[in-house]
Formats: sequence, structure tokens, C-alpha cells
Amino acid sequence: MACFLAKLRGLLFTGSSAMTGLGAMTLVCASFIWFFTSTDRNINDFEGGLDANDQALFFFLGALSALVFTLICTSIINRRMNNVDPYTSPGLDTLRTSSYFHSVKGAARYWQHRSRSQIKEYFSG
Amino acid sequence: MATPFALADQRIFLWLNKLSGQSLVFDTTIKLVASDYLVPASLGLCLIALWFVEQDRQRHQVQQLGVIVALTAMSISNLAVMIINAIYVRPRPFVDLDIVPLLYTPTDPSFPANSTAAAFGLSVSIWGVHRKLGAICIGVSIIFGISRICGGVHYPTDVIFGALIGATMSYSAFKLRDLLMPVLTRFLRIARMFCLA
Repeated sequence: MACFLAKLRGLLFTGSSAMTGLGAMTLVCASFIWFFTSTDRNINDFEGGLDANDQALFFFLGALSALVFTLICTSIINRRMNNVDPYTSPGLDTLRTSSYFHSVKGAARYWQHRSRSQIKEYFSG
Repeated sequence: MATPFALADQRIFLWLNKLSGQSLVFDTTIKLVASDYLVPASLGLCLIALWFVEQDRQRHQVQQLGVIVALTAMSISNLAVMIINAIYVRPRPFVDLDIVPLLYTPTDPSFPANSTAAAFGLSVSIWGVHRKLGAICIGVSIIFGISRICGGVHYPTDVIFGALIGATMSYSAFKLRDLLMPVLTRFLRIARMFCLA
């Protein structure tokens, strides 16, 4: 959903932004519905519920695993998207025109080029 | 002997709480909104959106710093609530009054409302960097707090003080951000190297 709104095409699972947005909205709603209807959530933390710290930890781990899954899968799906300018500072912006894998490669090239120029500048006085 | 203030607090609580048990739809809605999962998870998703969604680079950095501030505010709100709970223990409404709560019966002290403090810590921080989204989150947090009263697990003053604690800790987290700006900027620079910021 965030990638759809931010127009990060390199992180989209489908070629169509609209389909991705719709799919994301469906997944979010479906997961909420599944979570609240699959079992009774109105229980104490010592009767099987989650305490606040566990909840925060699981949310963080869930978000992290979703991010890693998205980065890997979209790097494979969008492997032909490679429009990184090695002289432009890296960041999320590069994901608008390239997959994550190509963006990180481009970032590595950028920093390599920058460190070489800085070393050259340093030694040339 | 209860003070007039405590009596007023109880009266407002009973007035809101008597809305429960009248309608299945209302009760189900309260159980859903007041649960420990819906509002906190939704606010967490708003933080993810704030991290990724913004076209302007400068505003983007401000929003990403706002996410770090929000997480800090939530953590120190929880810490503040823990410290207050160690000093002052107020029983839950269902302990002192003859009511049946809609939610499960928590065993920790009623004052201040921990979940409301965390929700306001997040919401006020979001408002600090994105007015529209922050206003919606604050609105949702207010509804969350009121639903906890209707659910029978907090007094009105627990929720009000929880909200104040969350807002104050959010303000403190913003001040801390200003102090730690060089460290945070470096962290964002490293994240940018991995195309994650």
C-alpha cells in the first residue's frame, strides 16, 4: 500500500499500480477480518493474549519480515527494471524506476565512485 | 470517603458505561475498537506509511525522523506509566463498582491508561510531522480512549491523564530529536545507502 502511494514501481508485485493498490487494500482488510474472527482476542495476557511488549515485538518482526519478503520477491519480479543513475545519491527515490536489487547495486557503485573522488581529492591536495 | 472529584469521575464513567449492554452491535463495536490490537496496529501501519510515502526529499526526511520520534514517545510513555503504577495503584472500575466489563479484566492498575498513553504518544508525534494524518490518528486515539471507558476498564481521568502523558512524552521526544539530530541524520544516511530511506 505504501509503495503504491509513494509510486515506488520497483517494489510493486504487479505491473499495474491500480491492481497493486487494490490488492494491498484487500490484503489489509482481509488480514484484520481474519485476525478478529479466527479466535477470541478479548483475553488476558496470562490466558493466551499478548502483553504490550510482546505485541510491539511481534508487530516489528511482522513488518520486518514483510519488508524482506517484498524486497526479495519484487527484485525477482522486476529484475528487468534497471534505471539507476550511478551519479545520483541513492535512496528510496531510485525504487521509482528500478528494482531493489539494482538500486542497491547502483548505491554501491555511487559510494565507490564517491570514495574514489574523495581519496583522489585528498591526495591531490 | 470519596472526594467530589472522584465521585464526578465515577458518575461520568457510569454514564458512559451504561451505554454498553443495550445493543449487540454497539457492544461488538466497542470490543473491537477498545481491543489492544486494532488501534495500536493501525497506528503502526500509519508509521510505515509515513516512512515510505512522500515525494519531496526534505519533507521525507522530516517524516522519517517523525517515525523515530513516535517510537521513542511510545516507549517513554510506557516507562512513565510503569513508574506511576509503582507509586500509585488505582483499582479498575470493575473492582470498585458493580459493573460487568465488555473487555477482559486486566490486572494492572487503572491509572493512568497505558494503551491510551501509547496511542497518544504515537498520534501526537505523527501530527508533529504530518498535520492531516496526525489529526486523524488523534481522533482515532480519542475514540479508542472513550471506548475503553465504555468497555468498563478505565475511568475518564485514567484516559485523560494517559493522553496527557502520551502528548507530553511526544513533545519530549521531539526535543530529544533536536539534541540527537547528528546521530539520527547519520542513521538515515546509512539507511539511504541501502535504499531503505
